[in-house]
Amino acid sequence: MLLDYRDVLIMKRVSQIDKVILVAGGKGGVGKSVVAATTALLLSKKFRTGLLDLDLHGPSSAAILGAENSPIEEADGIVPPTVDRLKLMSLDLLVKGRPIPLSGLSKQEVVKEIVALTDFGELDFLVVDLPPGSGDELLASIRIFRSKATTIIVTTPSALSSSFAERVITIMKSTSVPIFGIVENMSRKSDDSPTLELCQRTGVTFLGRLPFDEIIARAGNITRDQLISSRFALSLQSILNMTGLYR
Amino acid sequence: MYSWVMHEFLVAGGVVESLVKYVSESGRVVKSFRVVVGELSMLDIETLSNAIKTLITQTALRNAVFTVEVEPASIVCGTCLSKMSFNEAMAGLNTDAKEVIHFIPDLVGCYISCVKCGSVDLKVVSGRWVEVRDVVT
Repeated sequence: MLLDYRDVLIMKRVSQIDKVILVAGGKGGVGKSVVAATTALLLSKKFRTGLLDLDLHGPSSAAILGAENSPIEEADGIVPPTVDRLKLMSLDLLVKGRPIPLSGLSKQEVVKEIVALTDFGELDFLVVDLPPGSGDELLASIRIFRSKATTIIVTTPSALSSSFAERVITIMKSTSVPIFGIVENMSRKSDDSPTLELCQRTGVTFLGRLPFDEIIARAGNITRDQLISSRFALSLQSILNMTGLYR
Repeated sequence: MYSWVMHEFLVAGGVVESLVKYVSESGRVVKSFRVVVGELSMLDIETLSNAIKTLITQTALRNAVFTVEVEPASIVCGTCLSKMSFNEAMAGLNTDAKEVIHFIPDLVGCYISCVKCGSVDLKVVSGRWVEVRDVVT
C-alpha cells in the first residue's frame, strides 16, 4: 500500500478556506489572469483573500500585481507574500522569470505540492487563476477544491472564445463543481454577443460585461492603484456586488 | 531565506498524519512502514527520521518500526532520451536553485538542461518526492 503524505496537508489547507473561486476559460488571451488578480484584489479589501496562480507555464499574477517578494518558510509551510492585504502564491515568485517546462504528470505533482506546501492560513476566499483549456491544472484543481469551489468562466465577444469556453463548461458540468457564471471581457456592449447565446445554450448565468480598457491592456506595467481605479476594475466590482458572490 | 530542517518537520508531520488517518479509518494496527524519499527533494534523512520517530510516540503508531531510504533520481531528456543522475543534474546549481527544487522537485527543469544535447525538455522519472510504502498491518 502507498500513502501520499501531501493528501492530508491538502485537506488541512482546504479546510481553512471558506470559498474557492476557480477562474477558467477555454481560450488564451481573454483576460483570465487580470480578472482573477483584480477579483482577488477587490475581495481582499473586505475579506481574508488569497490568490493562487496555477497558470504554471505562464504565471502572470505576480507581474500584474507588482509582487516581487519571495514566499517565506515557517513551521506550517511556505507563507506567501502579501500584496496590500492579498496573499499571493505563484511559481514565478520562486523561479523569478525562468521558463517552466513541465509536462503531464509533473504538472499534477506541482499543483499538489504548491497547494500542500502553501500556508495561506484561514481565508474567506481563495481565487485560483487557471491556464487556458482543460488540462492538468484545471482537473487537479477540481479534484483538490471540489468541496469549496465555484467557477467563473471568462470569455470575450467572439465565436471562437465562446466555443472554447463551452468546452470548459461541459467539463465543469460533468463534475460536482458549480459554475457561478460567465463574465464577458473586452466587451463591445452589443446585444448580439455570442456570450449571451452561450449563456442561453448552456443555461449558465451571464454575470456581466467588462469593457476593453487601455489601462488594463498595459497590465504588468501599471501600478495597483491604476489597476484598482480602472474602468475595468470598477465594472468588475459592480459585478461582484450584484451577483451575491459574497453571500 | 529557507530553513531546510523546518521542511523536514512539515514532511514528517504529513507522513505521520497520513498513517494516523489510515489507522483511524481502517481500524488496523500498523506494524511497519517504509518512507521513501526522492533524491531530488534533498531532504535530510536523519532529521526526517528523528522527527517521525518523535511524532509517532504520541500516536497509535508508537510500536511501529520504519525505515527511511532514498530513491535515486532519474531524469530523462525528451529530445535525445539520455538519462541524467542527481549529481549530473545538480552540478553547478546555486543555493537558490537547489532551494526551489528542494520544495518542488519537478521544477528541476527550470534550472538545468540535458548534459548531452542541451534540451530543457526533461522528465523526472523517479526520485522526486516522499512516499509512504509497504504499510504492514
